Amino acid sequence: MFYYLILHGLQRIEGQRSPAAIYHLLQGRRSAQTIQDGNLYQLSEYFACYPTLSRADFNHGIVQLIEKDWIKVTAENLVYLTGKSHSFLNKYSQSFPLHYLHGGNYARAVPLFMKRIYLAIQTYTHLSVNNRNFDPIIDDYSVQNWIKSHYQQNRYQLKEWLIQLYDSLNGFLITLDSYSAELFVKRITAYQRIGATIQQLAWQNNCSIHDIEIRLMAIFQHLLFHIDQHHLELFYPLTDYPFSTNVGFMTASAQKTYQMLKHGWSKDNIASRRGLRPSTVEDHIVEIVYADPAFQLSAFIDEKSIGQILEAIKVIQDHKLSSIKAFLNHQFSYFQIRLVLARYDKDKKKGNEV
Amino acid sequence: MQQLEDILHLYFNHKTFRLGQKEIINDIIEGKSVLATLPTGAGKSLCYQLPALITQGTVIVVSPLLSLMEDQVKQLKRQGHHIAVAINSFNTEQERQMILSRLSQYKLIYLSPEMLQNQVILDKLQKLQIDLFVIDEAHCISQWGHEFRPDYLKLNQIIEHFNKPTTLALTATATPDVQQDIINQLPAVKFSKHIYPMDRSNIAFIVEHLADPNQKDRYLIDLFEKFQLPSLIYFSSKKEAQRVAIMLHKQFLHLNVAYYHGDLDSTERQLIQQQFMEDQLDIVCCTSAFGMGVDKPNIRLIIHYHLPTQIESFIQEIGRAGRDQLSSVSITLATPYEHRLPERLIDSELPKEAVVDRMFSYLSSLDLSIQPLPIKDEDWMIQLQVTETQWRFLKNYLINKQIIEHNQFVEHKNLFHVKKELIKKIKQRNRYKMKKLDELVRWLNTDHCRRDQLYQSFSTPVSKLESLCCDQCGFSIDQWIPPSEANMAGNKLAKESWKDDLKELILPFKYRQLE
Repeated sequence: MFYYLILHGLQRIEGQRSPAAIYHLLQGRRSAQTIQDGNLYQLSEYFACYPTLSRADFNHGIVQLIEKDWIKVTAENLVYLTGKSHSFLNKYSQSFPLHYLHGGNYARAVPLFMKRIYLAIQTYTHLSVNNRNFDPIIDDYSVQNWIKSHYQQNRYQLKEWLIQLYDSLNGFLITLDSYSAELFVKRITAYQRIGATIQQLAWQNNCSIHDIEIRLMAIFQHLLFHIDQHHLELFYPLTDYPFSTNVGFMTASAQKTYQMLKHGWSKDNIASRRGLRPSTVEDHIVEIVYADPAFQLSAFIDEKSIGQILEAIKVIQDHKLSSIKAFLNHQFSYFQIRLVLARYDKDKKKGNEV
Repeated sequence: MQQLEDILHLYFNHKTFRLGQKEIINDIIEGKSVLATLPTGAGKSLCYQLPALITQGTVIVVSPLLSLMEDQVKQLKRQGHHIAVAINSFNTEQERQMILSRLSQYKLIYLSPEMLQNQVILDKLQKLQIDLFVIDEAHCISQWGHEFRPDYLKLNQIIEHFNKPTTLALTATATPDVQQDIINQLPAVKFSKHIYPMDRSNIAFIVEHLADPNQKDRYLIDLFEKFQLPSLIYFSSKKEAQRVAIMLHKQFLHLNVAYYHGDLDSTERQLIQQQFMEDQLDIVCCTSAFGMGVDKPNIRLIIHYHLPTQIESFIQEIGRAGRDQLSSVSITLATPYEHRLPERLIDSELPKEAVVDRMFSYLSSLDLSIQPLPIKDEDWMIQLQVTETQWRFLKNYLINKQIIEHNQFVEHKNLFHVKKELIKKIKQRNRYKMKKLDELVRWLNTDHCRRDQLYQSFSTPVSKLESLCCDQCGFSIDQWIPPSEANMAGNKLAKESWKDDLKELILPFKYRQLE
């Protein structure tokens, strides 16, 4: 799955970018450039699907691909795929569950969610049979403290909590391919069973550590997506990140606009139907973009324009709307620039820290 | 006062003390400071945990083993004693504030050595009534020891700062040299010595001489064909540990093999340790990073694929075998060139003369009288091209010589002299380490009883065994009959379908046979 994912990514950027672009994407580098690449080449689902991937391991993978004649890298550091890898990608296009990857906030929410759910299962299965004799498999103090307070809230209905968890996980796992479901279950540490290490899972399945890391990440992203789709509130406290839509934080009027957009109404139709000024509806849409990370911008601005605006922000190091608009020769409306800022501004700031 | 045995039973649910414990505790209660050597797995921690439960004031324990201290706090909690706390780098700032604000409620306070540098914590501790000050792994104070900790050199000053409380210095391995060094480094304390034999009579010794390294793998395969027992294989190289684990995994698909070293992430390390503890793993190929705090009772085989750098480490590593007191075997695989790898390790531990030269010529080119030079550790490590350990050694030396103060280089009149002394010191240390390695290499080639020879330099009594002693005394692995109950992992991990597996895992109260 590791090589498939890399090749799949390289195919999209073929002849345009260097292999490192794919590394940054898989690793989840929070820079405008990487986010823009994700959008431009339709690879945003794979953003941050392997945050612990080291540069050395990625480079090793690329060298392997070159040596085995899967890809060629030009002197300008641009990648081209050989016929071999094109047919490989075709042949295995259905073999790997790439659709479990959702990118964005789902990807970012996984690491913490993983730790919490593993530790919660270990802790609560032990306590459910009155056994306190176990060592937490997660060393992270903040996660341990989180469990303590979560436990305080659920201590009198631990068994009910576990039954609900079982039902939800079972309901989720039956929607997966059986290999992925098995992997998920083998990794769990619970009463009388310590979970398998990544290495062990790789051995058992004749694949690499990278394959397992990515598949687990994909399964967990898909679980978050599933939680989101089915409103499985049991899991909400396990993740701090607003990976799901924060519809509740929107004004009632914006919520109404949100619903109408979902039903296919255009911006202008909403304004005339509701007797609002177009600029008010635009305000709503910006609000929606902040609240719902999965909300599609495509109806209002195309990927290329997003890239241009992000590039401009980077170049002029200024977030003032008028400066951006002027810099781009007034090609775009304030509304479009606001949309881009709403979606990517957070990332931009974090990108500067990294 | 209650009998000590009653207290032991009441709080720890043991009926009798193990060797040495009672004598040590009695001295402590009478206010006598003690230097004690007890073999690994002999219950050292009870020597201060029990006094902590019956004294009025507080017991402070300095220990370099973070995981061990966490384990003990957890373990005490499990036994229902919410009296212990650990202050170390794991604490968040918030946690530390909370701990410090209610310090007097704890009977037992564990400190990691670097906390001894923290004046705020020391001042808070000083306000307590300290009834006992414990130095765990006391050999770390000795510069000659195999695990020297510069922070430990501050201990004497701290003991004085705390008004010289009763002090207990504990270690599992200390030669008479190191014992004397401990006493010398702590002039504030008047020690009475309690030295107990380090010999573990249930462990038999074998050194397998092989013509070249390639035969080591073959030997392991033959061995595990015969014996499928919980085993640890020690390596000095992470890569080799990994390679051999993969080799054994392929060779023995029915055995559960893993490798363990410091580069694995913390969850993977936790899983491996716990699988091994829970008998889900049979063989762990590891570096010396494995083992601290792993108190698995039924490890039957300890194999040294590589040699450690000295006898003390070797004894510590074989000491993980047979904690259940049942028969176990230590096997060391030796080739004629076995000394080379540890030699290289020793050579790379301390900075080279050229590095010292470079550092001092740079320092003397600066005019530090005008402005001291702040130090960023990473920058210096890159500039000098040294490892973290090497830089720590250099820095510590420069602090002692007052060339570094408050984390900046300050003016010093006599750089040349200091440099000469440092180079001399490095040479001396390297020579000493080579000598220690030589002891171990000689042990490989001895034609006397290995048990006698191994513990010779510790001047402690050694058991005379009729059988199961060592290869020199006629023991061979073919004649060994291991204790019958060996809990092998088998196929415990595999379940028919994930559905059943999930049910049993998440709902143990419905589907598991409870113990």
